[in-house]
Amino acid sequence: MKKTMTIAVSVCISLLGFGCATTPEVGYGSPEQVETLSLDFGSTDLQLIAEKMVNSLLASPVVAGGRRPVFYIQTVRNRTDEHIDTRAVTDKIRVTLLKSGKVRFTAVSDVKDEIVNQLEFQTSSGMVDPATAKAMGRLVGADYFLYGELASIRKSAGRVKDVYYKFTLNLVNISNGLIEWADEKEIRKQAKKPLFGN
Amino acid sequence: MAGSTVRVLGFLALSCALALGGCASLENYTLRAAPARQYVAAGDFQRAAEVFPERSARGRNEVLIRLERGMLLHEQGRFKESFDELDLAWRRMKEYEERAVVSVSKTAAFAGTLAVNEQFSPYTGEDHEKVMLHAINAVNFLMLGDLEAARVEVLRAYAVQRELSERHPPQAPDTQGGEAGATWEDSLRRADAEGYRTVSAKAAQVMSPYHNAYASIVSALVYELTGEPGEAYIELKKAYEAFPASDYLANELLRLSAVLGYVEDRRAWELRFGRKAPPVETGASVVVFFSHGLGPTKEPVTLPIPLKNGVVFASLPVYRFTPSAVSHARVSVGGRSTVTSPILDIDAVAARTLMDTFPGLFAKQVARSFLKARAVSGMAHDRNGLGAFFGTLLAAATEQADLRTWSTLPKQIQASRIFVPAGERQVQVEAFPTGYRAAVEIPPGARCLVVVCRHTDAGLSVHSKSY
Repeated sequence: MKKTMTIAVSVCISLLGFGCATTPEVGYGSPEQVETLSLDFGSTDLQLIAEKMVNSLLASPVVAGGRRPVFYIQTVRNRTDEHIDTRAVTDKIRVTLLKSGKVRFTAVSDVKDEIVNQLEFQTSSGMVDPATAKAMGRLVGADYFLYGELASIRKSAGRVKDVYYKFTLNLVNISNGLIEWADEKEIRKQAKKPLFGN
Repeated sequence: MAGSTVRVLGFLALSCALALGGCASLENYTLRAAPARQYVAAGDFQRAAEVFPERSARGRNEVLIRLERGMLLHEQGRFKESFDELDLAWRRMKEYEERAVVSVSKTAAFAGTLAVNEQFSPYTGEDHEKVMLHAINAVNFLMLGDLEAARVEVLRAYAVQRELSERHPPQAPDTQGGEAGATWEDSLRRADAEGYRTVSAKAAQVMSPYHNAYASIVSALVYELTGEPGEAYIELKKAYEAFPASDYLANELLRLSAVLGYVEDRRAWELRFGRKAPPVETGASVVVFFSHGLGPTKEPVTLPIPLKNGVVFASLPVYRFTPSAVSHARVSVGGRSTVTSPILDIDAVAARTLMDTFPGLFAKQVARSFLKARAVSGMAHDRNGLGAFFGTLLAAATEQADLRTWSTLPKQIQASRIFVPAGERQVQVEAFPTGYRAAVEIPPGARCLVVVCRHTDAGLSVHSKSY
């Protein structure tokens, strides 16, 4: 009886003493490494979408002619039930397209005010050498307008949860309003609640 | 000897469970939240928030403390911080839900609730609170001017409501409780006749605790502002199913069915409400969400639970409702005025949630009382008077009803919409019968002004955002 009590008390004290003593392990990982920590939209999904869209767009006749058309891009609309930084998706697509060297982007969508302020400063402040000051009215107009949205459908049944993402991107010819190119990328993810665990 | 060892180990386990659970499992949450509720009633949301400091949002009560903090930050107009708190609460709730079917932590919590009391398990939020969390977050983003993020919360509110509706069958659960065949309703009625009558009367006012009209109305507003009036109309119809007595909903259904050109629907609503749809207005409108009072708190009630060999007494929570003298608010702009009408009664939704979960709580309580009674009887047999004394003392000390509930929610939420005559730049809100007033400027060019207004003893606390 006494022995049993001693063992039980020791176990309880050990639990109390060591139960919560943990330190997180931190390390570096490859950005390309597949991330499947949760069902939520993650870095791998972002890369899959950007890669598919860029490859599809670069293969389209709009870009293939070597004219290096000028694009205007609007931040992708988030129609999912997650707080997703769609700006990151937009940036990824823009940067990958720019790196291809086949298209150009106008910065007006992002920094219009800054550009206008700088032009006014250069032309009107009297502080900039007129020989180097950039003139008003020389900004390049965009040829195409790129816009898209990310939607999702989430379902669950029993221990299984399923999420379906659909990303759609459209390219509109600004001069005539025609959609010259569009594509979509679908991603489906599933998670199953484990039977046993912590 | 073996039986004696088991009983001693049983009490040792109980003591260890208590040690691990700390004071949290013996805390009376109603008493803890009382000062915060007093500050809220007095209109001092900042001091109310100090009752729930960030450092206390740890352990088993993290979700609850974050819900309280989120609400109080919302009332202070600190909408981003409110979202951060509520989002953390939601993430923690999700973690609890996503744990393995058979997990060490779940099993330990279950064993703890059987050995000690319900407060041994982590607070994961009442069903109606899970919906409210997203509805308030949608308003947080509305007030921040971030319609895309508000839309995310709207979708989450809908997903939670759908999931809860699917999880809970519409028919009433089995109410058989004690071994002697007594029902939980009988026991509750005998122990607290007035409490039972009030809670069941409130619960009867709610069609479904998993369908929140306030959440649907906020969703409808977000959809209208994002240019999706068709979605807004669907949300209004859902809100009407949940709260058909609301004048606000009648007005909105008439208005939007006319705006969308749904002639058949408009005629059906006109027939139902006994009045014509108003002419379609194209000017700016002001939408006011007016809340007053304080939601219910829980108090323990001691129930006799009949067993084969006698009766044991158990402590279970029931809601107590805080009265509010406020009836409505009048919203005036130019020569026009309208009154707010109820869209959500938190008392009723909470009561219905409790009534739905009570059978499960009662069954668990029967098991707990039985185990404790057996343990005390065993201690008395093995250790005579001293064993019985300590056994009874420990059993009584640990018998604590789970009084945790989101205590800073308002008692009732009302809404109204008024169209602004051309050239008018100020809207007045006046509460009745207190007469407290507030004026809100309508910025030039605004097509919609959203006003969130809470009534307190100090006056009206008002925040607004124009679109």
